[in-house]
Amino acid sequence: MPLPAGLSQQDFDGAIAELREVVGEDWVFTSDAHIETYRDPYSPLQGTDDEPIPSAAVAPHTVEHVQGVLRVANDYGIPTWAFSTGKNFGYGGTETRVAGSLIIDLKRMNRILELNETNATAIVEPGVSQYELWQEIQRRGLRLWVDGPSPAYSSIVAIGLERGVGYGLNGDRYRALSGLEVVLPTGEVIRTGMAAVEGSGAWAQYPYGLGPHVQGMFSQSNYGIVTKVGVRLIPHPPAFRSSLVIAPNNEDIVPMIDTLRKLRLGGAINNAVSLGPHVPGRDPWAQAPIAAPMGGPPGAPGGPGGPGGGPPRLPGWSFRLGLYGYDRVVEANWEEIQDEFNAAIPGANYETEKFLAPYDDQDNWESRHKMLAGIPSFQETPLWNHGGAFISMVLPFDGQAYWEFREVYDRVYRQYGRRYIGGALHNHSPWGLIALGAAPVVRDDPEANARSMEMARMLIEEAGKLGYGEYRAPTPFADEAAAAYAWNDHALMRFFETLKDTLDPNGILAPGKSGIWPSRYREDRA
Amino acid sequence: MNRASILKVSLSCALLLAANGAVAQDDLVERGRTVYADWCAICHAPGESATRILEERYQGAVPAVVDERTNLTEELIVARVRTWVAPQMPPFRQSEVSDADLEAVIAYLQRNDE
Repeated sequence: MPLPAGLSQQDFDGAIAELREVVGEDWVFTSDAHIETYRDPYSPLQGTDDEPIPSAAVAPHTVEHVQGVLRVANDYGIPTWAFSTGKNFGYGGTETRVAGSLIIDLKRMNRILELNETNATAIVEPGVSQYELWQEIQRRGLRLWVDGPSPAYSSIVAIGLERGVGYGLNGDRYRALSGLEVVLPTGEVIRTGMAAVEGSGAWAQYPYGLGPHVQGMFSQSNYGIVTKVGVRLIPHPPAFRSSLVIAPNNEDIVPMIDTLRKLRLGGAINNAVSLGPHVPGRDPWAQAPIAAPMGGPPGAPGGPGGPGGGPPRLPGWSFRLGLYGYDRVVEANWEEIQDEFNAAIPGANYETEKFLAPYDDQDNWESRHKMLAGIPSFQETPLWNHGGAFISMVLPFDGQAYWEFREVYDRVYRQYGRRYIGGALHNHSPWGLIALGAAPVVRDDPEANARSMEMARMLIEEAGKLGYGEYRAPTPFADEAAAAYAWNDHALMRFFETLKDTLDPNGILAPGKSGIWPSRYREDRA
Repeated sequence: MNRASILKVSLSCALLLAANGAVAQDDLVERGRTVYADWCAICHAPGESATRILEERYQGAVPAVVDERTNLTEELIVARVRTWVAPQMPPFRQSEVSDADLEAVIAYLQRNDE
């Protein structure tokens, strides 16, 4: 395994010995077999000279361990890369930016410190997965749901910090966070929001506290290692209706988006809806098709391209919405929603099911309903064949804008012998739409992956010409994604770098995360 | 102690050791059952995502539910857990499924082997 740049074998051995003193013999990993488990299986760089293989991994169990690890990294100038559970597949997983990095694996920090049914909140460490939190909720018999993406062994903390999505009422995962404890790169520990009040009695209830709201500085960033977080949960509503809305024609995506926007902004639909190509007989985001829907070969699954070589014509679109609340309100909303879609989309049709509290049989629900309620799921996992890197753009919530975007994406896909099927389209905010694309990764085929990377870069570039940027970036494409945020000669990145150099003077924490490089790397890269 | 008594004591000790061994093996299987429930069943239980994929692949030739199989070797289980063999199943690290947990899962998955 590669050593950190500039470090002798002797110094590296010394650092490893010190790390063993910090966390114990069993939790420092240097063998090839262990390091293998810290490579991102879905990386387009896999098996190439550019794949940043780590030098070692360390798994701290306490905040003091994290401080100790960072002290060693600072003393020896070792670049580090921290992750919670390393399951954000398609966005980087455990992958670092710098070869020879020391991986800081936070999975063992998996304590649930507080679980409050009354306020529907929790305080957890970063190693707690959605599924583990869910198991504890069930063990205590609490009437709470979680919400989050599949697969459910992802960290409840990291999904929020990476600004990922769920599918229910807490689908905007960043907004479900409230109050952080952070170990800064220098080892100092701070708490944000109400968590900074001595003996905080409202840590997870109110994220802002007093003064600047700095919580966001630690999301998608390399400014600190988050070790505790307040998380908002969902109390069981009296009634829950889970519905699939189906539009039968390719062109229906435009009125479908526009009608959905009206209903989302108007408050009739409050869950984080995900739209996608409709595969008859399937429920795209619950009975996930084996092939990823957004990067198929020519013609599949939507048939040949339309006249003039446009994007593939699809046999319709669909999305699943949830309605939560008092039964009569849920039913009235459902009637209005159907009226709106019937007026906008001839032939719109629906599949729907209602559940009433108490949800004693929720374990037996189909996964499509579980995901919408906020019961952690692994349902999306089969979407992955080998893998891929998501290139996901933030668009306005506008049907025509998506239609035009889809044409641009498909033009790029075609240059690389593929078609852009379209979707998924997340709207965890009622004001924006996130359009996913994916550069496929083929195992043991570096040549195909190199072309995929080229395609991904072109997608970023072409979307940038439309004024769009990514909402999060796969680790290998962080620089390209960050480059799109170029207004005023990259003033935002200069601000990020100023913060980075101040908080992490030795540049040891996650260099290159989100395209933010500390000064010692900037000089090398210039 | 006469010879018969010595034999009796020896036999008792042997039975005790065998019983202890069996108990230890039972404990290991039970631990494996728990680890399997926490880490594997969420995809490999009946009806779950991995089971559906395996149903399609095996077409009934062998059980699609992994803990119903009786021919899983230690090498295969270790490879599946620790390396990226199955496209949809990323490897699990020591911090997730420790070597001791893995040993228990192997014991659990081989509990019905002939």
